[in-house]
Amino acid sequence: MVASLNRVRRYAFLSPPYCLKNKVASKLIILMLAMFFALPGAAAPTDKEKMAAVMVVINLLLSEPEPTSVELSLNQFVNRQYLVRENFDVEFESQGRDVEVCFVLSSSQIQVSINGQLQTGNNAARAGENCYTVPSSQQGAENAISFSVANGQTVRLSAISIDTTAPRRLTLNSLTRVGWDNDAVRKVLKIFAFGGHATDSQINTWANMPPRFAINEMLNFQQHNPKLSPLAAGERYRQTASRYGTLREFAEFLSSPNSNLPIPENRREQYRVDRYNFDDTFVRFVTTRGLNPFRQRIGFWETNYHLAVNLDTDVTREQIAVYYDEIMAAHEAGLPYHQVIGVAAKSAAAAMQYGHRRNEWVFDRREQEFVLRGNFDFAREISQLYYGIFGVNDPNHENGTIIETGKMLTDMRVPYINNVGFQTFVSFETDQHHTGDLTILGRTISGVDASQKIDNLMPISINHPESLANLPSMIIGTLADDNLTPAKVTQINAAWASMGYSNKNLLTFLRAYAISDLFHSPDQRKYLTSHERSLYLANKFNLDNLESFFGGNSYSGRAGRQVDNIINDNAAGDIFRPLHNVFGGQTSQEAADSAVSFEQNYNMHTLHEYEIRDTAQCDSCDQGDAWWKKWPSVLPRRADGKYYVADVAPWLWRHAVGRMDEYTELERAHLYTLLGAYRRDIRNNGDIGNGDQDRTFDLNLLMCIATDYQRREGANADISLANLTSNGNAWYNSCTPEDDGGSYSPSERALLNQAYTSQDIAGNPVIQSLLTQMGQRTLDFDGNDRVREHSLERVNVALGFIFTTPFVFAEGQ
Amino acid sequence: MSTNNFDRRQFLQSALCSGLLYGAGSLPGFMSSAQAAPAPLNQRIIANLFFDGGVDFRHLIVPAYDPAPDSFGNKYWKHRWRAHRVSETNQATWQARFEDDYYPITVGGSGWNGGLVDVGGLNSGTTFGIWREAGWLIDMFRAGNVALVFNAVGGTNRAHDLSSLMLNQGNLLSSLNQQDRSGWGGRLARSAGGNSISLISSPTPFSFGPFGNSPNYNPNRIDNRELISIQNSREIGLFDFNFNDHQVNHRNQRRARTSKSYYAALRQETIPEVYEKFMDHESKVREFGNLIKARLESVPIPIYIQALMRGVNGPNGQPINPEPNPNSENFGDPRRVLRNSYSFGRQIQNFYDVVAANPELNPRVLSMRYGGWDSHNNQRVIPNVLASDPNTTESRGIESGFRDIFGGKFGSGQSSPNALHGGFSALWASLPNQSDRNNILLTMAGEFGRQIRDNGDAGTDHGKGNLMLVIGERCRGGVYGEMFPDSEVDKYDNTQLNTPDIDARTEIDHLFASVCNWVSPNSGQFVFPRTRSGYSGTAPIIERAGMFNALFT
Repeated sequence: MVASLNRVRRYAFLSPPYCLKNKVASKLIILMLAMFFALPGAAAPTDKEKMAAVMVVINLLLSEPEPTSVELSLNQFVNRQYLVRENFDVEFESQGRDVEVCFVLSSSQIQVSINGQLQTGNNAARAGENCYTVPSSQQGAENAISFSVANGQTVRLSAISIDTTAPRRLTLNSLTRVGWDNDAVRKVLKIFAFGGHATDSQINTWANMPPRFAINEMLNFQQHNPKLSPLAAGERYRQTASRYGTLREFAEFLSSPNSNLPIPENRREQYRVDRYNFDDTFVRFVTTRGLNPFRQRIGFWETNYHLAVNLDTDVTREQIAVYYDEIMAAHEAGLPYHQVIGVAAKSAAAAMQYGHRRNEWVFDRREQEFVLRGNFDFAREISQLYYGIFGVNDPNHENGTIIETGKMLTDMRVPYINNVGFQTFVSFETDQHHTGDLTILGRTISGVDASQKIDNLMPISINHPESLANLPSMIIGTLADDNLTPAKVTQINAAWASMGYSNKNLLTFLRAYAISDLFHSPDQRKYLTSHERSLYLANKFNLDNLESFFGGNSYSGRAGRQVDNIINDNAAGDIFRPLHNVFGGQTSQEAADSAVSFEQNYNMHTLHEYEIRDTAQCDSCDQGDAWWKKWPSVLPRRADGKYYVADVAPWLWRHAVGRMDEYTELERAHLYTLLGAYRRDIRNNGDIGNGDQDRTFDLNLLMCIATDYQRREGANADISLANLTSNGNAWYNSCTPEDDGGSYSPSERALLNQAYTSQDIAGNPVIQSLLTQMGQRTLDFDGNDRVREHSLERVNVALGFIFTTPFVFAEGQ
Repeated sequence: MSTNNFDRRQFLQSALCSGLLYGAGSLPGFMSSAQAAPAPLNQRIIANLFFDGGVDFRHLIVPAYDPAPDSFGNKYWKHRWRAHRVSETNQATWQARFEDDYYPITVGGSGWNGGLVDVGGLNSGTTFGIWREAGWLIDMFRAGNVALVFNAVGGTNRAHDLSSLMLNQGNLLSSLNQQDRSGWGGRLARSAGGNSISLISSPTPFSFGPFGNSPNYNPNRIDNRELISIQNSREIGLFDFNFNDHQVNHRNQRRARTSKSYYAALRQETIPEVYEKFMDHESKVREFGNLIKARLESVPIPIYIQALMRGVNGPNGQPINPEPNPNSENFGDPRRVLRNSYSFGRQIQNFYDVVAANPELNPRVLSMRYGGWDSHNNQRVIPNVLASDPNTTESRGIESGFRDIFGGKFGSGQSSPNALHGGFSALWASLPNQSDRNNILLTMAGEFGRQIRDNGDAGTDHGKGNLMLVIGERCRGGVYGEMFPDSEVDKYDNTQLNTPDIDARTEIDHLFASVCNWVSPNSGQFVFPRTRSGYSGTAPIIERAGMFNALFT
């Protein structure tokens, strides 16, 4: 029975009304007690006495017995925790279809039965998430999943859900909870939120929820998403958790001398909306915690790709900021996508970009007729770029729709004020507007001015057959999948169309796609553009807001990961200066085929490795105070309070790459070495101390030292990690150019040049022994400042190594 | 490692010949034994310059003003007065614009040197003008090295992205959902057995290679093993450790070795296909960098090419492009020549360097890009300073681009020591060997043309047909196709036509197939399958059958 994927528990039946009654009674008593104390004729106890009495009663009531059952309906998710002390039942009625029941257990010390059948062997419950498939054929009128624990034991049961085994959202097949795991959550965050800032705990929580519930928490357009972007533990700069959620507000915050920021006051003005480093402001908008990286990811795509405008044209920074905020406000308000696009179409930024702010419908005396004075640029692109309507097989497109659209886009003035410049809004006038009806896309478009006409055109555009065929794949093709096959496009289009004529909502669509088997299939692949990669890696590297604000700059000390320089060095086109103008920024394919992007990234982490290593601490950069990178607050720590290399290495890999599929002996060996191969000292008494751990080794050098030391000292030489990294005769005098006439010997060169494959590593006892020893070394974040600094640096360098692997340039299997 | 699709070991056997030691192999087509001197170019290459945005070549090469009201030369100026910034009604300004700013040539007459061809005799007696500041183009044309191909079409629609895709892929049948097809440059490189080198950091689809080996490759899949992109040829390469240094003392060398060792090992393992590209980059950039560095170590960047990007003095010590304003604190100081110096100037430098290192790099196809041609408004801008500073780099609309690309003076005569070379002029002046110039062919096109009437915003909107250029000292210069078709005359005043443009008469296939054949004999039919005899689909249109048969001398 019960196809299982692991886990479960036992059966006990207590009716839900029992629990419900208890809760109602509790509330009534509390209410009566409160009223009693409020009666005028009552004795007048002191406030303290009142409170004490109330608390006694409340505590009494709250100590009610834990419920021993819960009844679920299909698609229900119980987001609470139960303490199972003896028995507990999860009940559900027959669903007439196969269902998947999932829950999370805190321990495996529990038994699970399904409709009375004990789950054993591979089906036995485990700590963590458990999911069972209950086929329709094995469901009764009433069904129960029963949990039981031995007397005296307590197991926490949580995150219970029941769903179909083939869930769909819109028309897309969704993952079930079985397929929705930690890696899937991280993949969504990588592609749709520049990685986000969610904690490991939060990621696990999402992974243990039904995907449709998790995705709603992960992806929304609110200005602040505290689960996706929580403040760091002990965060000093907390303002963004509740304020500065728009680009304009954030720019004002970042540039103001009155803000509480670690950036020196005289270095803030560059981040003003109207200043040269406005693109850097946006970088910080993405990387600062407390905001919403998903909102910014979509905002970046909208304003730099789909609805792109370009600072290299006539558009001003202020206009772009307003453009960005208004588009995202429309998304936040949940407007249908055609209305969101309408906001863009009616913006000052678009009017400046395309020049239709000058378009006029005027009487030409020579021609003795009204003519359009202006251009037809946006008249074409409002259909093509915004909706994917090219006019294929439409004989009226060029000479009809585009010309008529040009007439629609008349008398959209962007007011100009002397000594101030162009305003950030469009004034829709009628004097020089073609006020009559127009025929666009085969439909009559009316309106007294361009604004009304645009409003009336947008729903027609989004439902145009070409738009229905092209826009969904334009969205997904740019955001999430570089390998869209016709079959995938068909499915995506169907999902889009299923939202109906007037309510195609981008967020609903993206959520459905993000948990679909299309996105999570082996066929999905996404090359990260330079922008996506640099912002993602910044979010993986930065741990608090000081790092985001610094962004790799040095203000009495360097902190944070740079982004803008990377984009520049990649020649990928600045933010808000798309490489292809209104056709958008660097494409995924361009980024993937750019050897320059690879080269710049590689050299940044090797030749200039100090730029990432160095961002470990500063003495006074935090408004005169010292700052330390917060690795200890996120890295895994064992019960003994120590950070072991064997734990930290895989954590870093998962943190940066998002999954462990490619974490093999090869990756393990290099990461262990970068984290654990540091020099220790020999004290006066001959013991080995920690030293300041400043000197480090790479795998090849360590093996070269071991080999050369053994060659010089004999076969019985001590090539333990401790000796190799503390004995100067080993670490400094072995494998050196000095003992070979100023350059390395051929055998040393060969060792330094050796490529150790996974197989080599697995089969080499010396390496395995060293790895074991390095895995047991710890990162000492509690030692003296030098040790602490160098421990932090080693983590930075290890992460920098991961940042040079192929696996940060793309997402795919 | 995990998964599927691609066995790195198999790839290595054909590509890198690496054992456990890395750095010992060489990439396919990259030769070893670099030498420190510019090498003569002994094989034919093409460089394709993509005019991104849909260039209005009808602004660069125009019909002579003609007072006859029904003539092409009158209609043109009547309907282009805003784009040229002349009077709407005062025809004297049209005439002055042509005479002052365009170098006149009459087919078969004045300025028409021996050797130039007018294929089919379609244009006999037609007078046209080449924008005078495109001095290099004028001289190259007069020297018989420029083929002007009229009424050509690279994209069958007026959408930038789709037409660009068609042009770059060399396939007018492509649709927007077929991004994963090879480019005609990549196919040519594969056919020619050489490398496709992008002189810009983000390669265009033109450079994307086909899947498989010539002539059996699959043009509908991409394999970019032969493609490398360059941002700055003088700095390309991966940082490496140095055997002369004690490794314990150099953090960055230890760190570099970690990644180098890692990639060398990973190359012998199986990884998901999606990550292959980055493995390729690692080996290509490393080796390419080493080779080009060795070759160029003692080869200076020529003065004229340096001057494209920054202020330098010429060979005689005098400043190139000196600041002319006596009130400027920089008065007399040398200035960069190009407006778009960072991108296009760098591409010219990369071009020079790739030629200089051609024995190692085995280039057959180079790709370049110059953007900014989507001139819906202000097609011609006349900055105030222009009158006193004709060499200003302030924006002049699309004329800035024309000047960057075609500007300067170079030809059969001696150039001035302080000549103000534009991009290709500087390159031509700097290439040390005649064989270099003989073996280079330039192709130039935008994704579509512009409408024949300007719009009300002093610009031009998207059209279809356009002019394309093929330039090289082995090209048979002249005019191919009817320059200013009679059939267009009526379009100008036809108010029923809202968006008149140049009729497409010649699709790119035959033109560029001829170019391919010049680079690598018989490759054209593989790169452009629609030109193959026996092709069963719709054949590409051409204005006169066989008109490119004698495109090269």
